[in-house]
Amino acid sequence: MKPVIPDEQMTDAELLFAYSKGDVAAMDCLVGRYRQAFFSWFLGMTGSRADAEDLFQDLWVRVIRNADRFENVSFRAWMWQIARNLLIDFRRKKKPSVSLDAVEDDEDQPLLEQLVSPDRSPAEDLEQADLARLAMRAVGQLPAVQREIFLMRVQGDLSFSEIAETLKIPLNTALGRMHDATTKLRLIMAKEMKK
Amino acid sequence: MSDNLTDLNEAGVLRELAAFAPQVRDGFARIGGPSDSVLDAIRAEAAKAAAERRRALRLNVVFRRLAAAAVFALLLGGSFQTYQRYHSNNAREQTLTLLSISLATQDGAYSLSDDTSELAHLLLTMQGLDQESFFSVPDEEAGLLWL
Repeated sequence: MKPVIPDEQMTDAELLFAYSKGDVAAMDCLVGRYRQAFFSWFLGMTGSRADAEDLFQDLWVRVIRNADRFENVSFRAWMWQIARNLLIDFRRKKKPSVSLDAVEDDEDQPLLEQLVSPDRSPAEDLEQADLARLAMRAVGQLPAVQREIFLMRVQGDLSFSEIAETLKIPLNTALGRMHDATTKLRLIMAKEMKK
Repeated sequence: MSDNLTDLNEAGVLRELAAFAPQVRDGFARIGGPSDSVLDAIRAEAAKAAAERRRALRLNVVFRRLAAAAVFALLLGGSFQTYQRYHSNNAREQTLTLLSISLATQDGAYSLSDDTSELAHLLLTMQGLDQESFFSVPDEEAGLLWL
């Protein structure tokens, strides 16, 4: 079989199909495409880099092992369903911390302390980092049901219809939870900024 | 009407979200993604699974070819057997036909039929025997039988 050179223009389903026919580079492409979305979501939901990495790896192992069973559904929806199931199983085994501020990762440094980007000037970066830290802290204080939807939208870039379908809830419920999340975030950030 | 309300709500929610989304995205971007060791592990798993699938596919091809060869051999064997049977049936019929022709030329009274008693009589005659004389007892012997 001729190897297919994976192209950034290829759809997710095409990349997965190419992988199921033996093109390992196609899987690399897929992982790169969704790396930030799923890792951020796992990180936001567990508060731990180690747990987020474990879940992220488990997610892709499941995708790899079931690549030839994938049929005519949305690849993104399929992956999010797997991700959610993994998180549910994880929660059953271990009660995760919800605060990104308090939980330390393997390097013994709170996650929010790592919010420094080398690409900006120190002053600029400090301001940006402060804002980011504030926002992340606020997200960490959201209830899990709101945080889940919030991160699916912000990090996963899912539409509200896709979110509703993945969570098997009505569209209005998804919208309602998001509205509640943004209201709470506003309150938390206002309180934090007053400090 | 309810669709319009949903659309309006969705637009409103998206507007609210726009106030926080950039900072949250920035925050996660700063934290970064999974480590290289995790990505390497995923790559290794992908390569291993792909190799297993290739191996399974090759075995599948071998088994299919063996199965096709077996079916061909069976068909060939069956055809040969059928041919042989036909040939031997044909030969038997030819033999019987020749026999009836030869008997007809010897003695016009006999003709081939499916009646087995006639066939038995025919066989006895071929051997120089006839049914009546085979089972009859000569007079002198008959006399000896009476005590």
